[in-house]
Amino acid sequence: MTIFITGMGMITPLGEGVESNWRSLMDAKSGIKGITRFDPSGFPVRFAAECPNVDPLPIDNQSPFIARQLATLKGRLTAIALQEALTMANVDLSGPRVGICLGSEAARPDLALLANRKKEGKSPDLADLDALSPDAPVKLIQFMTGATGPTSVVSTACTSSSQAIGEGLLQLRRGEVDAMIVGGVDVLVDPLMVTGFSLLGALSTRNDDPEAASRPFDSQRDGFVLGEGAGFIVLENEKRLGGREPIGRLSGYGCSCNAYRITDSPPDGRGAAQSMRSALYDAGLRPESIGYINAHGTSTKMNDASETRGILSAFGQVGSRVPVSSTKSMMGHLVAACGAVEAIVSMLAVRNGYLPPTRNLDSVDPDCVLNHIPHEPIQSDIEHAMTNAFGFGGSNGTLVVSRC
Amino acid sequence: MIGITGIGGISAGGEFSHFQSPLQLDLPVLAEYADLVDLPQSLAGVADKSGFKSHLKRRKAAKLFTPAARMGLSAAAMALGEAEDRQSIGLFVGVGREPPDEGEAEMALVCSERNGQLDPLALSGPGRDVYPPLLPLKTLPNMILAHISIHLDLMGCNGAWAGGPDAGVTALLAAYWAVCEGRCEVALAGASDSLIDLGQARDLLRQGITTAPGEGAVFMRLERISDNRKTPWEMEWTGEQGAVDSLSEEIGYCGATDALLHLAYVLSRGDTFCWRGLRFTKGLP
Repeated sequence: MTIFITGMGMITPLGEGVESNWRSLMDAKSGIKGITRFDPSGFPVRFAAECPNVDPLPIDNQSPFIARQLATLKGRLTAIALQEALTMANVDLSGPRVGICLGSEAARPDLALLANRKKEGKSPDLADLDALSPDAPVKLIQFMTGATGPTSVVSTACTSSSQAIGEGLLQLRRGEVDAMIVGGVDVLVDPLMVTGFSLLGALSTRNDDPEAASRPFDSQRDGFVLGEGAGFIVLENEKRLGGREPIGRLSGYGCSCNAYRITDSPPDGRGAAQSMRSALYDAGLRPESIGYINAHGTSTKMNDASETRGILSAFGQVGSRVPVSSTKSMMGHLVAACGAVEAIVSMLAVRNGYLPPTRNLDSVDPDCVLNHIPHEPIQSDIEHAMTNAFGFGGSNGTLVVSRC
Repeated sequence: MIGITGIGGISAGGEFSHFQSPLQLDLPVLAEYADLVDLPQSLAGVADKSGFKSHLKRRKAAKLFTPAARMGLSAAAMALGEAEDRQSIGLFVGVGREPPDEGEAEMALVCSERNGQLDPLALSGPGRDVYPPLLPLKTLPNMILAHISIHLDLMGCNGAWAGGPDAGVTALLAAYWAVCEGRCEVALAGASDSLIDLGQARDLLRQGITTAPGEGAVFMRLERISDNRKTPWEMEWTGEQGAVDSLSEEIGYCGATDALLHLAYVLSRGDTFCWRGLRFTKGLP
């Protein structure tokens, strides 16, 4: 069964909206700057990939819960990205045949909330509890669309939204629903997360030049850059499509576990390779059919080398020829949202015939030799693109998007 | 036909596995729990979580395990049994809300106070010095899945679902379809959740859930079976919607695991059961 992509929306550190983000990617702009959300002056890492400040969408008839959701950055990012996807799809998504699958982590309590809990020795109020729930954005999506079909929330760290999109694809193929709203959202730039991830040694500390900090596959890379954002996609089956022109197809999904270590990737890239192979099999494609890989490419020593081995293993003889880039070099790492945002970027690459570059890739690490796209986009008419997402703990997800 | 060929579980009622030792509910298992004495309701269903260490590849990995991860690994290992070719086995897990940070981060928060307020700058100095470096990873919702996959060598298709009591059900359905559709030959599906710490218990009371908090994990081994093979239970999608019940009055409210614990209990009694579109039928003797 063919599943079509009919709507896409995103907000990232590069800006608001699909076309705006695409222009920034084509210009190899960076969305990584000094942290503005709190005073980072004492922190070992003082930069991040923050989203632009956005006002709540003017949504009528808000319940107190929806108002509380829209008061949070996570809620606002969800609403903005979703609204763009709905506008693009331009179709009624209400009713029981429309499902929702969201990639999301639980919202972390902020410092003010923790302080209150500690001082008062009591729980936050119910509205705060609801807002912290991982499925809180699902209720917002239901409110904005009227969708009443099955809902679920995938929480697999950086793989969350990639797997959410994949699970939506499976539900559509099974005939459980006729349309799915899928995607992810994450907001991580806060003092506790910056403290925790910097203590793990996972973050770049290139404070003197933040725009050069995220440099996937480069020999001078020193860690990832925390980011935030949201991406949503509307998937529909052929029956619903009518005469509308789809953007493209979601043609394959694969996933795997590394079964290796919590913080490390296996040097041989075995889990990544298994995920890519299963996505190719699911799409009914041979490796040479893939015209572009949007890599997970976090800019950490281990991930990028492991992913390289995984690509070479899964793609065999064509592994060194397929063009590869990591748009995290410009957007930073959007964690639970990265799979959705990068699936949209991959779909745009297929639709527009240009492949986005890896910014800051000045000197390829000898352990990461692939057919990279450094610094500038390249023109290439491709039929299919692949996008990887690999999470802490070893969950891997791979999607294939295709031209109609 | 999809068969359930193994069940492993752990809760305040004890461990149960492979239908040979069904969950015993004839003795009261809720008890006063010292951590909750300041609350109006101080009973809790506390499970013995010590068994997980026998399944660890490396003993020092234990420090990364939350209570839910400990129970999850034990239950998954019981359900899996002696499986061959583990690398293709799928793993589908329902998880609760990640535990609040302030337990282990308490010292860091204390050190980050200035004039009675938490101060980001203080967190970057004295607070950072005592902040547990593994805490951001340890409390991620998918760590139960990660620990099970690592210590039981499972590399197949997978997922971790969050979102309250439905999380375990969603995981079971995803596993059922993964086996039906041939994405894996064998899948482990289950959930693990622990709600007995003071913060979680307070949150439950605030939400109007007055049942005693509990904790538990259940995993089931699902696989495609041939017509002539014995299997304790068969399951198939019929779309029938049976009643979803709970054992929370007996063993405490177990969040993401609550519904699956009830399912395991019903299956261990030998009842045919329809639930959330799935029909469970007792298999060949």
